[in-house]
Amino acid sequence: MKNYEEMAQSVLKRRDIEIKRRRRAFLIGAPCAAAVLVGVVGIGAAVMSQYRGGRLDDLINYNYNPGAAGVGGSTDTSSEYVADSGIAEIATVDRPASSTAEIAVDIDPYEGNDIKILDIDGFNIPEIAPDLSNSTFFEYSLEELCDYYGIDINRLGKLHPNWETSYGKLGLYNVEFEIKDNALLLKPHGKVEYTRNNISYTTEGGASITVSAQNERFDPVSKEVFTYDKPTDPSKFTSETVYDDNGNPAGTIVFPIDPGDTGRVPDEGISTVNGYEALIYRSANGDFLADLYMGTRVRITAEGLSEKDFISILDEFTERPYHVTETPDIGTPVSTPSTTDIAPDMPVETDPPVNDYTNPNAGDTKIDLLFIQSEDDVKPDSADVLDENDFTPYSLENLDRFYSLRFNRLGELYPTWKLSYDKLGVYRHETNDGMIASLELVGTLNTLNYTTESGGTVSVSAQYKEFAMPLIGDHIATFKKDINKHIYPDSEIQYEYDENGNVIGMSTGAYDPSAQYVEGETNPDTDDSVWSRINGYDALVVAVLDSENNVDHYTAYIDMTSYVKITAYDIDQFTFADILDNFTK
Amino acid sequence: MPNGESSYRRFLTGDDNGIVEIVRDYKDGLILYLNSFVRNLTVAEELCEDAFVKLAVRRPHFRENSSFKTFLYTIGRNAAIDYLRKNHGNVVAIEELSDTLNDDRESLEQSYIREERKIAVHRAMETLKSEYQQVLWLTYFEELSNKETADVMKKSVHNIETLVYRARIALKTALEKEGFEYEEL
Repeated sequence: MKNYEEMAQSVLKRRDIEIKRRRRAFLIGAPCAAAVLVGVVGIGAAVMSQYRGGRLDDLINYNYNPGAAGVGGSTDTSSEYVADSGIAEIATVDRPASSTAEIAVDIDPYEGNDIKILDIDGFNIPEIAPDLSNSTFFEYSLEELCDYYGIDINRLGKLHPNWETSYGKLGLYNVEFEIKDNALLLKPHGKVEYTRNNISYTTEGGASITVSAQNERFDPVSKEVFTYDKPTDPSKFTSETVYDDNGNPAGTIVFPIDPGDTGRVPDEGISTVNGYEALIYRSANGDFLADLYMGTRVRITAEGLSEKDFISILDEFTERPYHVTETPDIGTPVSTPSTTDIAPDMPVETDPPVNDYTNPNAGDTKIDLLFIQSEDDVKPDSADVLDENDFTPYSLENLDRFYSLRFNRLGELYPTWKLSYDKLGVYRHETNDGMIASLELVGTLNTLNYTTESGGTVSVSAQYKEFAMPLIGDHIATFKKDINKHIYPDSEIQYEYDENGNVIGMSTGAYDPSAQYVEGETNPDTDDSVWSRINGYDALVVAVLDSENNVDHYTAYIDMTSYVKITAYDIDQFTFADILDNFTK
Repeated sequence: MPNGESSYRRFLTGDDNGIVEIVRDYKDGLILYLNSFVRNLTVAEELCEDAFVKLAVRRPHFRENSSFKTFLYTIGRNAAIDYLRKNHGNVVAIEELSDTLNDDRESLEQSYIREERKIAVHRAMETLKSEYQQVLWLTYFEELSNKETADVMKKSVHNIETLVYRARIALKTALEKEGFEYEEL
């Protein structure tokens, strides 16, 4: 065991790491900060490339304080998503003033570019092509190359369809991938001899532009001005392997690189273009050349362009190729109490939830349909008494994060179904127990309604607390993990008091002693055979019969990260089973 | 007598020594408390460190109308519950503890509990259900009041009184099975 000094040092170290992680997550933006969980099946390079060059607009969209221009002295309050397996809250987090300067590394592509043009006599570009005679050429399409590099190398061609585009054969030499096992997912064996590809453009005005991309650094074009080989520490992709319950690799989390990472050695000759490091040269005859590091190395050369046009081209090329238009609404930040007042009632923090989640237990399905004679057997959900002043509206996207599941998965899978819902959001109420001010989630229920093409209806509800479930025998069904709380119902406890009113004993009333079971065991009063398992999730699936013993509707109660209830009318049981399978996959 | 409030206040003003003092003063007790949840000393130690990290990162506001220990143990309890949720009871039984862990436990007990008879009680507590262990640890070893224990365990004072009563009976039974009599119970 650690002694206290070791533990204290470890705590401080982890504190520092956590603060850095939060800054990084903040810079990258809330949705992207949720690292992307990539399934086991994937192609390493393509997986990595998917996220290359994809951060800048997050910076734009989530740049909460664009006026800070990099340095600020005040205490920032930003909204942060904090999640827990069972509880989640949106909380604001006070950032200490001392760290603000480091946090606010704002890189605004439109204002914050740091362009430095290095004037040199001429470009020293070696003309000697590598000897590829013993290499194997693998031809790639332009799209495949984009996947390979992780950037759209033909972006200029798409933005300027009037330009004349030309390129020779496209592909890679000597690519031998041997993905041996999951652990090597991102480290394919083999050798990539030569990865350079060029695309040339001629503008309407006759200027010529060439975009080259390759994995390795380009040779420096000038020895006069340093700098490309100067030791730097650019951002690198980092990844973590995720394991399932049995310790087997279940996937890899690939973190996007952070162009705002300040860990590199500063060099006054290095430019920043949309957050990407670049060296921009101008030759004596007015030609331009830019070497960019975008995960992949890119060199853009231009003849016949003005400085302004060349910078504009760099801006276009490095701009993220798609924009998130919706301003993220990660819940309205709680206005009053200072965020720090919330802990320790705050849910225990985990990594931000992952939207793109591949269920490692997919396929682990056993559905036992329980027929219920009448709806009278089903205990109705009690309506929470909620104060509308406590309501915080959420977007569908944010409910995904809140529930840590794809709440509208059916809508995504069945786009022809008609979706409807009332207001979406959660109720949270501020309480103060005298010691700690806390924000309590008092209402987390939301429901999405779908109408199928054939007129069937499906509703999906989710909430943090368990839904009231039907009777099984004499007991109201409950998911096993919560079953212990039913051992000693408070209503059955009778206390004994002494003459001073102090509790001296208690009795638990008359109840079946066989109902007392040891923690961790399953309730013997519930029949295991009625419980289902859908893609690894515990579930209770019932068919409610009408007076003529025909199925009136189906309902499934699923214990996912949040509790989910899916009800379907006018849908056959096989379709319903498909729905359950699809929702939980 | 540790003064966690003062240490924490200094930490909030930028003095990292504050958190070092807190770790020094509260580490052992918190580990033993968390062990009553997870029944695994190694995990309890990790959760204890997690609790300190949460304190250091989030810098939650401490209101001085409660004890710092109550405040800290509440954070620790949240960490333990989260761990249990994620691991669905996947905890190591006491019998599976290695010799090293047993040594650690003895060392921890010697340094924190000190009195042999209390150590014997602590050992007996480990046979009880988790909730009994928690309430006994907080009231008997940490000497928290019922109100403070209720704050930590997120129960009513009434519930705590009942739990304490029930836990003491269970503990007494466990001790008697071992031929041990303990008048204080």
